[in-house]
Amino acid sequence: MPDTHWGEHRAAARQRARVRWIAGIAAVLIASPFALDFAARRYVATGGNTTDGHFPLWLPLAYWAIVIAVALTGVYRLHRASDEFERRRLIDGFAASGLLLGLFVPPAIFVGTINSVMLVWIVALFTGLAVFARPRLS
Amino acid sequence: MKNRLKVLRAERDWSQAELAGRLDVSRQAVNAIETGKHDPSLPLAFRMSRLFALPIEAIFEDDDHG
Repeated sequence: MPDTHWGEHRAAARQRARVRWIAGIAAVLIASPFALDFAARRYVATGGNTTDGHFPLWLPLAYWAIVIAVALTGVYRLHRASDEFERRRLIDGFAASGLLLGLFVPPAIFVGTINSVMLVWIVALFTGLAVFARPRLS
Repeated sequence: MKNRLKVLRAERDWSQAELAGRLDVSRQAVNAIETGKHDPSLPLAFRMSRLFALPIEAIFEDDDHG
């Protein structure tokens, strides 16, 4: 007997794949500051060198490189798994993220707290994801 | 841009999700096209044309020439 609802099954599978990518990217972003904190503590505990209480540059650079690489890969795969309508939403999301970064990162750097820069970066990316994944037209 | 997507879908007793799956797009995209909030790309319009076995102009109507 032919499956007359194969389109619905295909659409549902497609939607599940997209939700997995969004959840995966969000999980990486949530975990990233904790991972950095863990790495820093472990570095100190194993006798790592800190000059004047500052960590060596490779630690935050490695953090940025890993998180950005994972996030970009996830966003690329999400883009591949999206249709033209969803891609427009994805671009809208990144526009919102870019706006937030442009507005808040320069003053955060001026204030001089690296934690606030990190927070703004994560909030901006979350805003992008939220704009992309927000409830659609009914 | 006006279109007859909802009518064509109803004639075949397809849900938005069913049509979305057959066109390989999201249900939200079908909804946005049906309600005129999103104009499909030319490749997607051709896919619709093939799916419904109708010329594109039988599915879509240009507002400027209404």
